[in-house]
Amino acid sequence: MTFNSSNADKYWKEVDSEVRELSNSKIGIQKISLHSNESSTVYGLSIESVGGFNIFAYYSVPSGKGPFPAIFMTPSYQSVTGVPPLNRRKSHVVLAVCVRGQRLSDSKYKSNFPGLLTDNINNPMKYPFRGISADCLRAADALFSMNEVDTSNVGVAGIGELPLIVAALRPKFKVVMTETPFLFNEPFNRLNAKTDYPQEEYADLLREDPEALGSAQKTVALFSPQIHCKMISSITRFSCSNSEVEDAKALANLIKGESSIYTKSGKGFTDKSSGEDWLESKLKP
Amino acid sequence: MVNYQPENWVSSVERPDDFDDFWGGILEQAEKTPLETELTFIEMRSTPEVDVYDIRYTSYDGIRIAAWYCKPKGTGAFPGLLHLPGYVSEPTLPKSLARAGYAVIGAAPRGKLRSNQIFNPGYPGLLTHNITSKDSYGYLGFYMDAIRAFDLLNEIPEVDSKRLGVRGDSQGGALTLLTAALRSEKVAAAAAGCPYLCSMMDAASLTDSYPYQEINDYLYNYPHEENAIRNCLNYFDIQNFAKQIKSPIIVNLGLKDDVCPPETGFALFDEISSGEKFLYTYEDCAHDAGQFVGQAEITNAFLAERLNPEPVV
Repeated sequence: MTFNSSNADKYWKEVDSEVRELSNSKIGIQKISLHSNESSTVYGLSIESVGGFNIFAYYSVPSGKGPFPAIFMTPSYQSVTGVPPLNRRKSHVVLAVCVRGQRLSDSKYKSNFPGLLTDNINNPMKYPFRGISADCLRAADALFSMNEVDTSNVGVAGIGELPLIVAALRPKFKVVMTETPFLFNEPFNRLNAKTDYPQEEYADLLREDPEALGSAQKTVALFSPQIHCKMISSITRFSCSNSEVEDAKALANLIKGESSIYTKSGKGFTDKSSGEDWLESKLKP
Repeated sequence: MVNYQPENWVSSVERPDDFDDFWGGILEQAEKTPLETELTFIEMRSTPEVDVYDIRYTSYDGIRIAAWYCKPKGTGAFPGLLHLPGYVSEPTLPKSLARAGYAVIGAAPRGKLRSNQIFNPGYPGLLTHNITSKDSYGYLGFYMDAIRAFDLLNEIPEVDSKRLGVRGDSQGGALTLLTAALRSEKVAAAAAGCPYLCSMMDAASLTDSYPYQEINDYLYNYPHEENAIRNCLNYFDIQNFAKQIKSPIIVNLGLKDDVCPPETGFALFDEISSGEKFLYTYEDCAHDAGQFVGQAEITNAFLAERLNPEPVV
Protein backbone atom coordinates (compact mmCIF):
# COMPACT_ATOMS: atom_id res chain seq x y z
CA MET A 1 0.00 0.00 0.00
CA THR A 2 1.40 3.40 -0.93
CA PHE A 3 0.08 6.44 0.81
CA ASN A 4 -0.53 9.87 -0.53
CA SER A 5 1.62 12.12 1.62
CA SER A 6 -0.27 15.26 0.62
CA ASN A 7 -3.48 13.70 1.98
CA ALA A 8 -1.67 12.91 5.20
CA ASP A 9 -0.27 16.42 5.37
CA LYS A 10 -3.78 17.88 5.00
CA TYR A 11 -5.23 15.44 7.53
CA TRP A 12 -2.71 16.27 10.23
CA LYS A 13 -2.83 20.01 9.56
CA GLU A 14 -6.55 19.86 10.22
CA VAL A 15 -6.03 17.93 13.44
CA ASP A 16 -3.40 20.42 14.55
CA SER A 17 -5.60 23.35 13.62
CA GLU A 18 -8.51 21.98 15.67
CA VAL A 19 -6.18 21.50 18.63
CA ARG A 20 -4.75 25.00 18.37
CA GLU A 21 -8.24 26.49 18.31
CA LEU A 22 -8.52 25.30 21.91
CA SER A 23 -5.28 26.93 23.03
CA ASN A 24 -7.08 29.48 25.20
CA SER A 25 -9.35 26.91 26.81
CA LYS A 26 -8.91 26.86 30.57
CA ILE A 27 -7.29 23.80 32.11
CA GLY A 28 -8.80 22.55 35.36
CA ILE A 29 -6.32 21.48 38.02
CA GLN A 30 -6.96 19.75 41.32
CA LYS A 31 -4.50 18.30 43.80
CA ILE A 32 -4.77 14.54 44.41
CA SER A 33 -3.60 14.18 48.00
CA LEU A 34 -3.85 10.39 47.95
CA HIS A 35 -1.01 10.05 45.45
CA SER A 36 1.11 12.99 46.61
CA ASN A 37 4.03 12.57 49.00
CA GLU A 38 7.13 14.34 50.25
CA SER A 39 8.93 14.04 46.92
CA SER A 40 6.17 15.12 44.52
CA THR A 41 2.66 16.50 44.33
CA VAL A 42 0.16 14.91 41.99
CA TYR A 43 -2.68 16.82 40.37
CA GLY A 44 -5.55 15.84 38.13
CA LEU A 45 -5.92 17.96 35.02
CA SER A 46 -9.18 18.46 33.18
CA ILE A 47 -8.48 19.38 29.58
CA GLU A 48 -10.94 20.28 26.84
CA SER A 49 -10.10 18.47 23.62
CA VAL A 50 -11.43 18.42 20.08
CA GLY A 51 -14.94 17.21 19.33
CA GLY A 52 -16.28 18.34 22.69
CA PHE A 53 -14.34 15.76 24.66
CA ASN A 54 -13.02 16.39 28.14
CA ILE A 55 -9.94 14.40 29.07
CA PHE A 56 -8.14 13.69 32.30
CA ALA A 57 -4.40 13.67 32.91
CA TYR A 58 -2.18 12.99 35.89
CA TYR A 59 0.27 15.84 36.43
CA SER A 60 3.10 15.47 38.93
CA VAL A 61 5.50 18.16 40.13
CA PRO A 62 8.66 17.42 42.15
CA SER A 63 9.14 19.08 45.50
CA GLY A 64 11.64 21.94 45.47
CA LYS A 65 12.33 24.87 43.28
CA GLY A 66 11.78 24.52 39.54
CA PRO A 67 11.70 24.80 36.67
CA PHE A 68 12.14 21.07 36.13
CA PRO A 69 12.76 18.93 33.08
CA ALA A 70 9.55 17.22 32.05
CA ILE A 71 8.31 13.93 30.64
CA PHE A 72 5.11 13.55 28.68
CA MET A 73 3.81 9.97 28.82
CA THR A 74 1.58 8.84 25.97
CA PRO A 75 -0.91 6.07 26.74
CA SER A 76 -0.51 2.39 25.93
CA TYR A 77 -3.10 0.32 24.09
CA GLN A 78 -5.18 -0.46 27.16
CA SER A 79 -8.02 1.06 29.16
CA VAL A 80 -5.83 2.37 31.98
CA THR A 81 -3.27 5.14 32.22
CA GLY A 82 -1.80 4.89 35.68
CA VAL A 83 -0.36 7.37 38.13
CA PRO A 84 3.14 8.30 36.87
CA PRO A 85 5.92 6.20 38.41
CA LEU A 86 7.85 7.61 41.35
CA ASN A 87 11.25 7.14 39.75
CA ARG A 88 10.30 9.75 37.15
CA ARG A 89 8.32 11.95 39.52
CA LYS A 90 11.22 12.57 41.90
CA SER A 91 13.16 14.77 39.51
CA HIS A 92 10.84 15.53 36.59
CA VAL A 93 7.50 17.10 36.01
CA VAL A 94 5.46 14.24 34.56
CA LEU A 95 2.20 14.37 32.65
CA ALA A 96 0.40 11.08 31.87
CA VAL A 97 -2.71 11.49 29.77
CA CYS A 98 -5.87 9.37 29.75
CA VAL A 99 -7.10 9.78 26.20
CA ARG A 100 -10.72 9.51 25.09
CA GLY A 101 -12.12 6.04 25.64
CA GLN A 102 -9.74 5.25 28.48
CA ARG A 103 -10.85 5.17 32.09
CA LEU A 104 -11.29 8.68 33.56
CA SER A 105 -11.82 10.06 30.03
CA ASP A 106 -14.66 7.83 28.92
CA SER A 107 -17.83 9.80 29.55
CA LYS A 108 -18.56 10.24 25.81
CA TYR A 109 -16.79 7.23 24.33
CA LYS A 110 -15.64 3.94 25.86
CA SER A 111 -12.91 2.01 24.09
CA ASN A 112 -13.22 -1.75 23.71
CA PHE A 113 -10.25 -4.09 23.91
CA PRO A 114 -10.29 -5.74 21.43
CA GLY A 115 -12.19 -3.33 19.23
CA LEU A 116 -10.57 0.09 19.43
CA LEU A 117 -8.06 -0.56 16.67
CA THR A 118 -10.67 -1.17 13.98
CA ASP A 119 -13.55 0.97 15.26
CA ASN A 120 -14.69 3.25 12.40
CA ILE A 121 -11.53 2.38 10.51
CA ASN A 122 -13.29 2.95 7.19
CA ASN A 123 -13.64 6.65 7.99
CA PRO A 124 -10.45 8.54 8.83
CA MET A 125 -12.39 11.50 10.21
CA LYS A 126 -14.22 9.30 12.70
CA TYR A 127 -11.36 6.92 13.45
CA PRO A 128 -10.77 7.10 17.25
CA PHE A 129 -7.03 7.48 16.86
CA ARG A 130 -7.60 10.87 15.24
CA GLY A 131 -9.18 12.10 18.45
CA ILE A 132 -6.68 10.20 20.58
CA SER A 133 -3.84 11.94 18.76
CA ALA A 134 -5.57 15.29 19.28
CA ASP A 135 -5.94 14.51 23.00
CA CYS A 136 -2.22 13.85 23.22
CA LEU A 137 -1.44 17.15 21.49
CA ARG A 138 -3.79 19.04 23.83
CA ALA A 139 -2.14 17.44 26.83
CA ALA A 140 1.32 18.21 25.44
CA ASP A 141 0.34 21.85 24.98
CA ALA A 142 -0.94 21.89 28.56
CA LEU A 143 2.41 20.59 29.77
CA PHE A 144 4.38 23.26 27.89
CA SER A 145 2.13 25.95 29.37
CA MET A 146 3.01 25.08 32.97
CA ASN A 147 5.24 27.53 34.85
CA GLU A 148 7.23 24.82 36.62
CA VAL A 149 8.33 23.20 33.36
CA ASP A 150 11.75 23.87 31.85
CA THR A 151 10.38 24.00 28.32
CA SER A 152 13.81 23.46 26.77
CA ASN A 153 14.05 20.06 28.46
CA VAL A 154 10.90 18.15 27.71
CA GLY A 155 10.70 14.58 26.43
CA VAL A 156 7.89 12.39 25.18
CA ALA A 157 7.95 8.70 25.98
CA GLY A 158 5.67 5.77 25.25
CA ILE A 159 5.01 2.79 23.03
CA GLY A 160 4.29 2.73 19.32
CA GLU A 161 3.27 5.65 17.13
CA LEU A 162 1.79 8.17 19.59
CA PRO A 163 5.17 9.54 20.83
CA LEU A 164 6.18 9.98 17.18
CA ILE A 165 2.94 11.77 16.25
CA VAL A 166 3.32 14.14 19.19
CA ALA A 167 6.99 14.85 18.48
CA ALA A 168 6.28 15.41 14.79
CA LEU A 169 3.58 17.98 15.45
CA ARG A 170 5.24 19.59 18.47
CA PRO A 171 8.94 20.10 17.60
CA LYS A 172 9.48 21.75 21.00
CA PHE A 173 10.11 18.28 22.41
CA LYS A 174 13.83 17.85 22.93
CA VAL A 175 13.72 14.06 22.94
CA VAL A 176 11.37 11.26 21.97
CA MET A 177 11.58 7.68 23.20
CA THR A 178 9.41 4.97 21.74
CA GLU A 179 9.38 1.21 21.48
CA THR A 180 7.75 -1.52 19.47
CA PRO A 181 5.16 -2.82 18.80
CA PHE A 182 3.82 -0.37 16.24
CA LEU A 183 0.15 -0.62 15.33
CA PHE A 184 0.19 1.23 12.02
CA ASN A 185 3.41 0.20 10.28
CA GLU A 186 1.97 -1.61 7.25
CA PRO A 187 0.06 -3.98 9.54
CA PHE A 188 -1.97 -5.73 6.84
CA ASN A 189 1.23 -7.00 5.24
CA ARG A 190 2.30 -8.59 8.52
CA LEU A 191 -0.76 -10.68 9.36
CA ASN A 192 -0.21 -14.41 9.61
CA ALA A 193 -1.77 -17.48 11.25
CA LYS A 194 -0.09 -16.73 14.57
CA THR A 195 -0.85 -13.02 14.84
CA ASP A 196 -2.16 -12.13 18.30
CA TYR A 197 -4.07 -9.16 19.68
CA PRO A 198 -4.12 -6.26 19.18
CA GLN A 199 -2.91 -6.80 15.58
CA GLU A 200 -5.32 -9.75 15.30
CA GLU A 201 -8.09 -7.13 15.28
CA TYR A 202 -7.09 -6.34 11.69
CA ALA A 203 -7.41 -10.03 10.76
CA ASP A 204 -10.83 -10.17 12.44
CA LEU A 205 -11.94 -7.15 10.41
CA LEU A 206 -10.87 -8.67 7.11
CA ARG A 207 -12.43 -12.04 7.88
CA GLU A 208 -15.73 -10.34 8.57
CA ASP A 209 -15.52 -7.97 5.62
CA PRO A 210 -12.76 -8.56 3.07
CA GLU A 211 -13.96 -5.50 1.16
CA ALA A 212 -12.91 -3.31 4.07
CA LEU A 213 -9.24 -3.69 3.22
CA GLY A 214 -8.96 -0.71 0.88
CA SER A 215 -10.53 1.89 3.14
CA ALA A 216 -8.83 0.47 6.22
CA GLN A 217 -5.43 0.66 4.55
CA LYS A 218 -6.05 4.28 3.62
CA THR A 219 -6.90 5.19 7.19
CA VAL A 220 -4.02 3.22 8.70
CA ALA A 221 -1.60 4.84 6.25
CA LEU A 222 -2.40 8.25 7.75
CA PHE A 223 -0.99 7.00 11.06
CA SER A 224 2.05 5.30 9.56
CA PRO A 225 5.20 6.04 11.55
CA GLN A 226 6.94 6.74 8.26
CA ILE A 227 4.91 9.92 7.87
CA HIS A 228 5.76 11.27 11.27
CA CYS A 229 9.39 10.20 11.47
CA LYS A 230 10.12 12.42 8.47
CA MET A 231 8.91 15.42 10.47
CA ILE A 232 10.84 14.78 13.69
CA SER A 233 13.87 16.85 14.57
CA SER A 234 14.02 15.78 18.25
CA ILE A 235 16.67 13.38 19.54
CA THR A 236 14.93 10.04 18.98
CA ARG A 237 15.40 6.58 20.42
CA PHE A 238 13.74 3.42 19.17
CA SER A 239 13.72 0.33 21.32
CA CYS A 240 12.90 -2.95 19.62
CA SER A 241 13.46 -6.68 19.65
CA ASN A 242 16.14 -8.29 17.54
CA SER A 243 13.63 -9.32 14.87
CA GLU A 244 12.42 -5.73 14.50
CA VAL A 245 15.77 -4.01 14.04
CA GLU A 246 15.46 -3.61 10.28
CA ASP A 247 12.06 -1.94 10.64
CA ALA A 248 13.44 0.36 13.33
CA LYS A 249 16.44 1.24 11.18
CA ALA A 250 14.17 2.20 8.31
CA LEU A 251 12.27 4.56 10.60
CA ALA A 252 15.37 5.93 12.31
CA ASN A 253 16.83 6.84 8.93
CA LEU A 254 13.86 9.12 8.31
CA ILE A 255 14.38 11.17 11.47
CA LYS A 256 15.75 14.65 10.76
CA GLY A 257 17.49 14.88 14.11
CA GLU A 258 19.81 12.53 15.95
CA SER A 259 18.45 8.99 16.25
CA SER A 260 19.47 5.72 17.82
CA ILE A 261 18.22 2.15 18.10
CA TYR A 262 18.35 0.03 21.21
CA THR A 263 17.99 -3.70 20.66
CA LYS A 264 16.21 -5.24 23.62
CA SER A 265 17.96 -8.01 25.48
CA GLY A 266 14.61 -9.49 26.53
CA LYS A 267 15.59 -8.91 30.16
CA GLY A 268 13.17 -6.35 31.49
CA PHE A 269 15.34 -4.73 34.12
CA THR A 270 18.25 -4.26 31.74
CA ASP A 271 16.02 -2.89 28.99
CA LYS A 272 13.96 -0.58 31.19
CA SER A 273 17.03 0.79 32.97
CA SER A 274 18.68 1.51 29.67
CA GLY A 275 15.69 3.57 28.54
CA GLU A 276 15.33 5.46 31.81
CA ASP A 277 19.06 6.25 31.93
CA TRP A 278 18.98 7.47 28.33
CA LEU A 279 15.95 9.68 28.95
CA GLU A 280 17.41 11.18 32.09
CA SER A 281 20.76 11.89 30.46
CA LYS A 282 19.14 13.64 27.51
CA LEU A 283 16.89 15.78 29.72
CA LYS A 284 19.69 17.13 31.90
CA PRO A 285 19.53 20.93 31.75
CA MET B 1 29.49 -6.24 52.10
CA VAL B 2 26.95 -9.01 52.63
CA ASN B 3 25.54 -10.49 49.43
CA TYR B 4 21.77 -10.02 49.71
CA GLN B 5 19.86 -13.20 48.94
CA PRO B 6 16.14 -12.68 48.36
CA GLU B 7 15.46 -16.42 48.77
CA ASN B 8 16.39 -16.13 52.45
CA TRP B 9 13.94 -13.34 53.14
CA VAL B 10 11.14 -14.08 55.63
CA SER B 11 7.54 -12.96 55.13
CA SER B 12 5.76 -11.16 57.96
CA VAL B 13 2.32 -12.42 56.91
CA GLU B 14 0.32 -14.04 59.69
CA ARG B 15 -2.46 -16.56 59.14
CA PRO B 16 -5.60 -15.56 61.07
CA ASP B 17 -7.00 -18.30 63.30
CA ASP B 18 -10.33 -18.17 61.48
CA PHE B 19 -8.80 -18.02 57.99
CA ASP B 20 -10.27 -21.36 56.86
CA ASP B 21 -13.67 -20.61 58.38
CA PHE B 22 -13.76 -17.20 56.73
CA TRP B 23 -13.05 -18.57 53.27
CA GLY B 24 -15.23 -21.62 53.83
CA GLY B 25 -18.17 -19.31 54.44
CA ILE B 26 -17.40 -17.13 51.43
CA LEU B 27 -17.00 -20.13 49.14
CA GLU B 28 -20.25 -21.65 50.37
CA GLN B 29 -22.06 -18.41 49.62
CA ALA B 30 -20.45 -18.15 46.18
CA GLU B 31 -21.27 -21.76 45.28
CA LYS B 32 -24.90 -21.28 46.29
CA THR B 33 -25.30 -18.66 43.57
CA PRO B 34 -26.26 -20.33 40.26
CA LEU B 35 -23.84 -19.40 37.47
CA GLU B 36 -26.69 -18.72 34.99
CA THR B 37 -24.18 -18.93 32.16
CA GLU B 38 -24.90 -17.23 28.84
CA LEU B 39 -22.76 -17.90 25.78
CA THR B 40 -22.85 -15.67 22.71
CA PHE B 41 -20.95 -16.75 19.62
CA ILE B 42 -18.76 -13.93 18.24
CA GLU B 43 -18.54 -14.57 14.55
CA MET B 44 -16.24 -11.62 13.86
CA ARG B 45 -13.52 -12.89 16.18
CA SER B 46 -13.89 -16.57 15.23
CA THR B 47 -11.69 -18.23 12.62
CA PRO B 48 -11.84 -21.45 10.60
CA GLU B 49 -9.89 -23.08 13.44
CA VAL B 50 -11.22 -21.38 16.58
CA ASP B 51 -14.68 -20.47 17.91
CA VAL B 52 -14.91 -17.35 20.07
CA TYR B 53 -17.70 -16.66 22.55
CA ASP B 54 -18.61 -13.93 24.99
CA ILE B 55 -19.57 -15.58 28.28
CA ARG B 56 -21.52 -14.02 31.12
CA TYR B 57 -22.02 -15.68 34.49
CA THR B 58 -23.31 -14.73 37.92
CA SER B 59 -20.77 -14.61 40.71
CA TYR B 60 -20.57 -13.77 44.40
CA ASP B 61 -23.13 -11.16 45.53
CA GLY B 62 -25.11 -11.71 42.33
CA ILE B 63 -22.80 -9.66 40.12
CA ARG B 64 -22.69 -10.58 36.43
CA ILE B 65 -19.16 -11.23 35.20
CA ALA B 66 -17.86 -11.28 31.62
CA ALA B 67 -15.30 -13.58 30.09
CA TRP B 68 -14.01 -14.66 26.70
CA TYR B 69 -14.24 -18.30 25.77
CA CYS B 70 -12.20 -19.67 22.87
CA LYS B 71 -12.06 -23.29 21.78
CA PRO B 72 -10.83 -25.28 18.81
CA LYS B 73 -13.53 -26.12 16.25
CA GLY B 74 -15.17 -29.46 16.96
CA THR B 75 -16.77 -31.23 19.85
CA GLY B 76 -13.76 -32.13 21.97
CA ALA B 77 -13.13 -33.21 24.55
CA PHE B 78 -10.51 -30.48 24.94
CA PRO B 79 -8.24 -29.75 27.88
CA GLY B 80 -9.56 -26.67 29.71
CA LEU B 81 -7.50 -23.67 30.67
CA LEU B 82 -8.43 -20.63 32.74
CA HIS B 83 -6.39 -17.53 31.91
CA LEU B 84 -6.48 -14.81 34.55
CA PRO B 85 -5.65 -11.15 33.95
CA GLY B 86 -3.09 -8.73 35.33
CA TYR B 87 -3.94 -5.64 37.37
CA VAL B 88 -4.29 -2.94 34.72
CA SER B 89 -4.38 -5.00 31.55
CA GLU B 90 -7.60 -6.08 29.91
CA PRO B 91 -8.42 -9.79 29.98
CA THR B 92 -6.86 -11.60 27.07
CA LEU B 93 -9.09 -12.85 24.30
CA PRO B 94 -7.21 -16.15 24.37
CA LYS B 95 -7.46 -17.16 20.73
CA SER B 96 -3.79 -18.11 20.53
CA LEU B 97 -4.21 -20.60 23.39
CA ALA B 98 -7.20 -22.13 21.61
CA ARG B 99 -5.00 -22.52 18.52
CA ALA B 100 -2.67 -24.47 20.80
CA GLY B 101 -5.53 -26.90 21.48
CA TYR B 102 -7.12 -25.65 24.70
CA ALA B 103 -10.68 -24.65 25.48
CA VAL B 104 -9.86 -21.41 27.28
CA ILE B 105 -11.68 -18.91 29.43
CA GLY B 106 -10.15 -15.43 29.71
CA ALA B 107 -11.95 -14.04 32.74
CA ALA B 108 -12.75 -10.39 33.45
CA PRO B 109 -13.33 -10.27 37.23
CA ARG B 110 -15.47 -7.44 38.59
CA GLY B 111 -14.13 -3.97 37.89
CA LYS B 112 -12.55 -5.00 34.58
CA LEU B 113 -14.17 -3.67 31.42
CA ARG B 114 -17.46 -5.48 30.66
CA SER B 115 -17.74 -6.46 34.36
CA ASN B 116 -17.72 -2.98 35.87
CA GLN B 117 -21.32 -1.80 35.78
CA ILE B 118 -21.81 -2.32 39.52
CA PHE B 119 -18.32 -2.56 40.98
CA ASN B 120 -15.78 -0.16 39.50
CA PRO B 121 -13.05 0.99 41.89
CA GLY B 122 -10.72 1.80 39.01
CA TYR B 123 -6.95 1.57 38.59
CA PRO B 124 -5.50 2.84 40.85
CA GLY B 125 -8.20 1.93 43.33
CA LEU B 126 -8.84 -1.81 43.46
CA LEU B 127 -5.93 -2.64 45.74
CA THR B 128 -7.05 -0.23 48.45
CA HIS B 129 -10.83 -0.45 47.99
CA ASN B 130 -12.27 -0.94 51.50
CA ILE B 131 -8.83 -2.15 52.56
CA THR B 132 -9.59 -2.03 56.27
CA SER B 133 -12.54 -4.45 56.14
CA LYS B 134 -12.18 -8.12 55.30
CA ASP B 135 -15.92 -8.38 54.71
CA SER B 136 -16.04 -5.72 52.02
CA TYR B 137 -12.47 -5.53 50.68
CA GLY B 138 -12.39 -5.13 46.88
CA TYR B 139 -10.61 -8.40 46.29
CA LEU B 140 -13.28 -10.45 48.11
CA GLY B 141 -15.66 -10.66 45.17
CA PHE B 142 -12.79 -10.42 42.71
CA TYR B 143 -11.24 -13.61 44.11
CA MET B 144 -14.57 -15.41 43.91
CA ASP B 145 -15.03 -14.32 40.29
CA ALA B 146 -11.84 -16.21 39.41
CA ILE B 147 -12.92 -19.31 41.32
CA ARG B 148 -16.36 -19.32 39.73
CA ALA B 149 -14.80 -18.91 36.28
CA PHE B 150 -12.90 -22.11 36.99
CA ASP B 151 -16.12 -23.82 38.12
CA LEU B 152 -17.76 -22.67 34.90
CA LEU B 153 -14.91 -24.12 32.83
CA ASN B 154 -15.35 -27.40 34.65
CA GLU B 155 -19.03 -27.50 33.64
CA ILE B 156 -18.60 -26.90 29.91
CA PRO B 157 -19.56 -30.14 28.12
CA GLU B 158 -16.70 -30.16 25.59
CA VAL B 159 -14.09 -29.59 28.30
CA ASP B 160 -12.35 -32.64 29.77
CA SER B 161 -12.73 -32.06 33.50
CA LYS B 162 -9.73 -34.28 34.20
CA ARG B 163 -7.46 -31.96 32.22
CA LEU B 164 -8.01 -28.52 33.73
CA GLY B 165 -5.26 -25.95 34.04
CA VAL B 166 -4.93 -22.36 35.18
CA ARG B 167 -2.37 -19.72 34.30
CA GLY B 168 -1.61 -16.02 34.57
CA ASP B 169 1.05 -13.46 35.33
CA SER B 170 1.26 -10.84 38.06
CA GLN B 171 -2.30 -10.45 39.39
CA GLY B 172 -3.13 -13.35 37.09
CA GLY B 173 -0.35 -15.28 38.83
CA ALA B 174 -1.90 -14.52 42.21
CA LEU B 175 -5.33 -15.65 41.04
CA THR B 176 -3.76 -18.77 39.55
CA LEU B 177 -2.31 -19.66 42.94
CA LEU B 178 -5.63 -18.90 44.60
CA THR B 179 -7.48 -21.17 42.18
CA ALA B 180 -4.92 -23.95 42.59
CA ALA B 181 -5.41 -23.67 46.36
CA LEU B 182 -9.21 -23.53 46.50
CA ARG B 183 -9.75 -26.03 43.69
CA SER B 184 -6.76 -28.23 44.42
CA GLU B 185 -8.72 -31.42 43.72
CA LYS B 186 -9.52 -30.28 40.16
CA VAL B 187 -6.46 -28.35 38.94
CA ALA B 188 -4.20 -30.66 36.96
CA ALA B 189 -1.54 -28.01 36.24
CA ALA B 190 -0.94 -24.37 37.15
CA ALA B 191 1.51 -21.73 35.96
CA ALA B 192 1.97 -18.51 37.94
CA GLY B 193 4.31 -15.82 36.65
CA CYS B 194 5.72 -13.06 38.90
CA PRO B 195 2.81 -13.45 41.35
CA TYR B 196 1.29 -10.36 42.89
CA LEU B 197 -0.68 -10.16 46.19
CA CYS B 198 1.93 -12.22 48.04
CA SER B 199 3.21 -10.78 51.35
CA MET B 200 1.43 -7.60 50.39
CA MET B 201 2.43 -5.33 53.26
CA ASP B 202 6.04 -6.43 52.99
CA ALA B 203 5.97 -5.93 49.24
CA ALA B 204 4.79 -2.35 49.68
CA SER B 205 7.80 -1.67 51.88
CA LEU B 206 10.14 -3.26 49.32
CA THR B 207 9.05 -1.20 46.31
CA ASP B 208 7.74 2.20 45.32
CA SER B 209 6.26 0.97 42.03
CA TYR B 210 2.53 0.78 41.41
CA PRO B 211 0.29 -1.06 42.15
CA TYR B 212 1.85 -1.75 45.60
CA GLN B 213 2.61 1.96 45.81
CA GLU B 214 -1.16 2.37 46.23
CA ILE B 215 -0.72 0.91 49.73
CA ASN B 216 2.17 3.29 50.45
CA ASP B 217 0.09 6.23 49.20
CA TYR B 218 -2.76 5.14 51.45
CA LEU B 219 -0.54 4.71 54.50
CA TYR B 220 1.09 8.09 53.88
CA ASN B 221 -2.33 9.67 54.15
CA TYR B 222 -3.86 7.37 56.77
CA PRO B 223 -0.96 6.07 58.91
CA HIS B 224 -3.25 5.24 61.83
CA GLU B 225 -4.96 2.55 59.74
CA GLU B 226 -1.86 0.39 59.31
CA ASN B 227 -2.90 -2.30 61.76
CA ALA B 228 -6.40 -2.52 60.35
CA ILE B 229 -4.98 -2.86 56.85
CA ARG B 230 -2.50 -5.53 57.91
CA ASN B 231 -5.26 -7.48 59.67
CA CYS B 232 -7.49 -7.32 56.62
CA LEU B 233 -4.79 -8.23 54.12
CA ASN B 234 -3.80 -11.30 56.15
CA TYR B 235 -7.07 -12.84 54.96
CA PHE B 236 -6.33 -12.09 51.32
CA ASP B 237 -2.61 -12.67 51.15
CA ILE B 238 -1.83 -15.45 48.71
CA GLN B 239 0.98 -16.52 51.04
CA ASN B 240 -1.74 -17.88 53.32
CA PHE B 241 -3.30 -20.00 50.56
CA ALA B 242 -0.05 -21.59 49.39
CA LYS B 243 -0.13 -24.61 51.70
CA GLN B 244 -3.40 -25.73 50.09
CA ILE B 245 -1.77 -26.02 46.65
CA LYS B 246 -1.28 -29.69 45.80
CA SER B 247 -1.31 -29.56 41.99
CA PRO B 248 1.73 -29.62 39.71
CA ILE B 249 2.80 -25.98 39.49
CA ILE B 250 5.42 -23.78 37.90
CA VAL B 251 6.39 -20.33 39.21
CA ASN B 252 8.74 -17.87 37.53
CA LEU B 253 10.30 -14.73 39.00
CA GLY B 254 12.37 -11.80 37.79
CA LEU B 255 15.17 -11.24 40.29
CA LYS B 256 14.99 -7.47 39.72
CA ASP B 257 11.21 -7.19 39.63
CA ASP B 258 10.28 -3.78 41.02
CA VAL B 259 6.53 -4.45 40.68
CA CYS B 260 6.28 -7.75 42.58
CA PRO B 261 9.49 -8.06 44.62
CA PRO B 262 11.10 -11.49 44.12
CA GLU B 263 11.50 -11.94 47.88
CA THR B 264 7.76 -12.39 48.14
CA GLY B 265 7.78 -14.95 45.33
CA PHE B 266 10.46 -17.05 47.01
CA ALA B 267 8.56 -17.03 50.31
CA LEU B 268 5.39 -18.03 48.51
CA PHE B 269 7.06 -20.85 46.63
CA ASP B 270 8.51 -22.30 49.85
CA GLU B 271 4.99 -22.62 51.27
CA ILE B 272 3.46 -24.50 48.33
CA SER B 273 2.67 -28.09 49.35
CA SER B 274 2.70 -29.65 45.89
CA GLY B 275 5.15 -32.48 45.42
CA GLU B 276 5.63 -31.36 41.85
CA LYS B 277 6.60 -27.71 41.99
CA PHE B 278 9.18 -25.89 39.89
CA LEU B 279 10.71 -22.45 40.31
CA TYR B 280 12.45 -20.54 37.51
CA THR B 281 14.31 -17.34 38.32
CA TYR B 282 15.86 -14.83 35.95
CA GLU B 283 18.78 -12.49 36.55
CA ASP B 284 18.32 -8.94 35.25
CA CYS B 285 14.64 -9.55 34.57
CA ALA B 286 11.96 -7.40 36.14
CA HIS B 287 8.21 -7.92 35.89
CA ASP B 288 8.71 -9.73 32.59
CA ALA B 289 10.07 -12.62 34.73
CA GLY B 290 11.95 -14.22 31.87
CA GLN B 291 9.07 -14.53 29.42
CA PHE B 292 11.19 -13.13 26.56
CA VAL B 293 14.23 -15.25 27.31
CA GLY B 294 12.68 -18.71 27.32
CA GLN B 295 10.10 -18.79 30.11
CA ALA B 296 7.12 -18.57 27.76
CA GLU B 297 8.26 -21.78 26.04
CA ILE B 298 8.93 -23.48 29.40
CA THR B 299 5.46 -22.58 30.69
CA ASN B 300 3.76 -23.74 27.49
CA ALA B 301 5.64 -27.04 27.56
CA PHE B 302 4.86 -27.58 31.26
CA LEU B 303 1.14 -27.16 30.69
CA ALA B 304 1.12 -29.15 27.46
CA GLU B 305 2.89 -32.09 29.08
CA ARG B 306 0.20 -32.34 31.75
CA LEU B 307 -2.91 -31.29 29.82
CA ASN B 308 -2.10 -32.85 26.45
CA PRO B 309 -3.68 -30.38 23.98
CA GLU B 310 -3.72 -30.99 20.23
CA PRO B 311 -2.73 -27.79 18.40
CA VAL B 312 -5.01 -26.77 15.55
CA VAL B 313 -2.62 -24.37 13.75
